Amino acid sequence: MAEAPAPLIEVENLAVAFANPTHPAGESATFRAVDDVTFGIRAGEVFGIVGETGSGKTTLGKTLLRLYRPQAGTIRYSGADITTLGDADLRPFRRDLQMIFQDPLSSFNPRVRIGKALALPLRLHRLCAPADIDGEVERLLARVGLAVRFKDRYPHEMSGGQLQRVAIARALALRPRLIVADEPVSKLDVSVRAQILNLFRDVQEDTGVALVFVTHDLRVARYLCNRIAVMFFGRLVEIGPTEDIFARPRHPYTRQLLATIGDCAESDAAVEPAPPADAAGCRYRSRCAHSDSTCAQRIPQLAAFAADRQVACHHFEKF
Amino acid sequence: MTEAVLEIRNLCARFRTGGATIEAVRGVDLTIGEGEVLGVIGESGSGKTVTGLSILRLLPANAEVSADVLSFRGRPLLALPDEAFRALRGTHLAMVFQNPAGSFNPAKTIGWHLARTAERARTRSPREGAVPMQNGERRLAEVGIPNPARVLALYPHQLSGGMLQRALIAMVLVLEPDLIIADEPTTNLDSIVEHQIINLFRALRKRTKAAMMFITHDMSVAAGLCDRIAVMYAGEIVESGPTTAVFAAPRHPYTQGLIDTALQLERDVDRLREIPGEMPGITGIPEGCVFAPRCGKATDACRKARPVVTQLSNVHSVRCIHHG
Repeated sequence: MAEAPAPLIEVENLAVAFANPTHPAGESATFRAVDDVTFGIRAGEVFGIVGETGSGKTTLGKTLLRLYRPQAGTIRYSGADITTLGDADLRPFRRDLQMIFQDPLSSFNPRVRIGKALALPLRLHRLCAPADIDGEVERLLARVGLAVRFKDRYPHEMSGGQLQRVAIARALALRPRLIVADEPVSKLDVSVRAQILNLFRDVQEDTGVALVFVTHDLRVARYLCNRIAVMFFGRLVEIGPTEDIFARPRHPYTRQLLATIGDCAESDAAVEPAPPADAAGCRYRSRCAHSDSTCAQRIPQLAAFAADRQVACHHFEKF
Repeated sequence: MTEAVLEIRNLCARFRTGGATIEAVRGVDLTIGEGEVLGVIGESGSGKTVTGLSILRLLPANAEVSADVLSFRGRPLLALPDEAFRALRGTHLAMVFQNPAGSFNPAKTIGWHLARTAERARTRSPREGAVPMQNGERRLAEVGIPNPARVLALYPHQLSGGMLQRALIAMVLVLEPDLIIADEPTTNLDSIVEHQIINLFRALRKRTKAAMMFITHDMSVAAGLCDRIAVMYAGEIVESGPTTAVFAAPRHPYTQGLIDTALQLERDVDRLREIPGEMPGITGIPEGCVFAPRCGKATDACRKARPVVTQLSNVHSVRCIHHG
């Protein structure tokens, strides 16, 4: 990878909120799934967003592609501000920004055969002459390791692994510059997982597409990603090159996550829920052995402490 | 090994669907002794869950279970009438499911569940006398639930998945069954919580003499918890033996592939080794060895006849003719 090129996509102070009708305050209450997030993704890199269920990692991934409209902050793609663009204005960008979902079966139309599903984006974006579409579909299938005969299958006639291959082919069809893949192997069988992870790696190396890999599994992130961002309850708590994060995690939450790999002895007390989003202070503090009065008063901001390394912790020097 | 709590020989489970009969589990042999944890490992469709449900008679009405031996503490289970079996289940036999919420009555508090469980435990062995409610608080504390007095008054939907799984484990501790079947109890949980629940299961096994069958798709989870493991593939046990022996020298190519994948991800290798292909669907079980279509070692002999089980030692066995 080239040394620190200009970011392909950049977000600043991004916040995404959803209505929370079950909240006692009533319908005006919102839940902030992504809160004050600032970072950038470089052309051609593989970037991991790691977090647990409810951390906001999927929401962040989808918002990068403007599948959600953020409540605050900005999203810049290749220098262009796409934060508030409407559907029509977004269309030129859609080709460059593709998504792969966790459950492949629900991301295909059950009544459309695979060949047609792959031809559709080519046709819509007029990427090749009508006469060449068949050939291009076959080339895409071959690229993801599927035989031509799969063209005539319906989604339900395929296994999860095969369908995830098609989802990768469909994302590649438009020759995008960025693909966001949301937990694309977590629903696959163990013996198929390695195949798909290797396919992601091969495809990324061949095409040079930037890949954002959203996952709860640090081991998977380590295998694929150049850089990793760790997310906790809507906020990024640490960003850095994969090897650095694994060699020396500087946020206590990252340290706790890493302890689950391998056979480390850890405290077995149940984890406390995080304090509400509008509360002051660090959201990790109720779980943190190092928290003090500063942590209760001020929200730690994500800040650089070394080249290409950022952490959001008042006490990161201790680790 | 101590006395067998559960002994199974040639267990088969079939489902009648339309005109066809599907064999989801074929010829499973296994034994679990007192205080022992057996890991049953397999991917979805391997028959691991159906094996667990067959033992507890929890399969739907279109299922048919047969076995040469299926005995609990020497008592043949298949011959028991439903009513007698129900008296065993929930007292001597317990199951922990992947989704803990399904094991609770949503309209009752956690405290109510613990009290009911204690009642059940008493009907089994009256000598234990009254288990008062304040015990519930202690039980919840034992499984790492903070503020247990408050949690006793909560309803299941007010607890997170991890917390609910802990509460369920607390119920198992109260019940003290002889056999616990746990089916992917940590699969839906986040990694930190999963790690903690696995540790809780480790602590649990020290505290109870129960035999435990731990069903999982995750080799690394099994490695840290189980005394022995049985690897299932397409409805059959392809290898079984002591965890340390199987991990040190897996003899079935499928076990080797699973262990490779698990260990390589932990170790940060350059490139993951793949098992080619996918598991056959339940209607497309090949003749001969079920793994042959994906196996690098397969020969004509593998495709012709189903391999018999080879005893590598008195505890380690494999269903592969190329096990050497």
